[in-house]
Amino acid sequence: MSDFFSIELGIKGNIMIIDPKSKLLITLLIVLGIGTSISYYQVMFYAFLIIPVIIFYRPNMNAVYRVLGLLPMAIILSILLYIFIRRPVNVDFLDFRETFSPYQFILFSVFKFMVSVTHSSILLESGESRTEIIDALAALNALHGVVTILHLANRMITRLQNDYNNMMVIAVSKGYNDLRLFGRLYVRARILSRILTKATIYSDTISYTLDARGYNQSGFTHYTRGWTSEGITLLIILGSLVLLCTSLPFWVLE
Amino acid sequence: MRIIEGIANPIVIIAGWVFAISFLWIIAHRRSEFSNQELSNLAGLGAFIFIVESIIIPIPFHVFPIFYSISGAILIVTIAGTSRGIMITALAITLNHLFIPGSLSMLGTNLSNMIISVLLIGWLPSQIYYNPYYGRRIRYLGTFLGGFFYTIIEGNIILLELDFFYRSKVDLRSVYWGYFALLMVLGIIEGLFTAMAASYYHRTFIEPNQSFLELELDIADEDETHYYEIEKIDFSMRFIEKTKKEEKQSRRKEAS
Repeated sequence: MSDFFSIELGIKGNIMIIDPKSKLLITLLIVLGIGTSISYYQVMFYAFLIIPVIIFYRPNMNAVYRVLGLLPMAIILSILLYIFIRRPVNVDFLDFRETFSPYQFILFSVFKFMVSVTHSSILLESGESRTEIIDALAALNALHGVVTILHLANRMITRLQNDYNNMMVIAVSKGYNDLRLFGRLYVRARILSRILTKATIYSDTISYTLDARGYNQSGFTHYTRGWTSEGITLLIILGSLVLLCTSLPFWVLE
Repeated sequence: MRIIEGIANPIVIIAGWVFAISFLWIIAHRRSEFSNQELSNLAGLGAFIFIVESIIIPIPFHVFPIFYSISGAILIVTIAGTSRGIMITALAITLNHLFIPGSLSMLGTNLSNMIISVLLIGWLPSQIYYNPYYGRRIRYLGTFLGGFFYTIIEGNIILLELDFFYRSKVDLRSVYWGYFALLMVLGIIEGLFTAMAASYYHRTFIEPNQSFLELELDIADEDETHYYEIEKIDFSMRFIEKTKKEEKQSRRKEAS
């Protein structure tokens, strides 16, 4: 179903200018760029890059909640890190070395973590469902042979999570909360091992239905949205910027 | 167990992505088509691993924190075989990194850690698991040891990646034994879970199909004077080969 049609029906609120494939590639490039950056100004560049990405991706408010949910964890971890790191840390990238004091290193790591988490949560909440992102992976020909497995797994995940929740409700009604730590772990492990058998039973029924509908690998094509020109231009511009930013220390840091 | 974003050295990240992609490309292109039964079974196992790995505990360490979750890698390798197990675990880890933000850029490194540690220890439980002549206790022990050593190997690889490339001047010996103790606890948890789930799977799906091994045949004496004697016959391939060789030898003797 095209976006224009869905807007007329009132299902979707906004037009997706950029296709999921280029979205996925742009986010991967940015995240890898953040991973390979070794100084503050590089990460600062990616932090400013959040603004155009928000403008083009049009994410929901859930992206903000995702980031806010991880923020207290990052603060607690940084406090714990402060206990362990006492000496200055050297960061190497080929010939370049930068020395951080403990405070600087912790702040730098947490900053990198938060910027990168923001980018990936913007991708997740940008109006694309899980299946569309998996289709994007398939269309990149990266996982063409196994994309059916990914789709089936994606559908089964919700079923199994539902089963897990139901089993936990039963465990609580039989006195799960009265147990201590290892008792709880044991009950959880037992429930997870039952879920493994559930998964195999479900997969048997699914294979029967696939046979009955005459499914084989050659006779099934996945729906994928084609490349949009806006997506390709954004990919080229942001990709060249990311490459420039990662190669900057070769010129600047001497 | 996985490294989170914003920690590791750029060289580790790039090398991890290159290694993981090339290895998985080789595995995926070995066989491009699956039967419907295989497809759905592998998908079920992948969904199971996704759920298992989405229960995450953050662990701080002296360089930077690690996310710990039970990884069903050894469990799936014992059930589905090495190459398929690695492929399915890799798919589940990819989905996990994509849909739970916090470690997307380290996906390649985490995948290569998983692949290396599975290749090092995955043979142990899979040798024991499908052998019908081993008992229940040895099966427990093999799968437990598989999960336990998997965690320890992966933890040590992570330690090397974080510490060696940062040259953080921290005395490794002072930190290592604490970290090793933590790894032991995590390994015991992983091993217990692996043994429990694998044995449950064995009891429900594999043992009922192995009943033909206990087949017993009644063979009457040639004289028919005695009662029937019951002999257990080994239906393994070795036994059949032996009998064929004996027949050949006897024919040769007759001919000569």
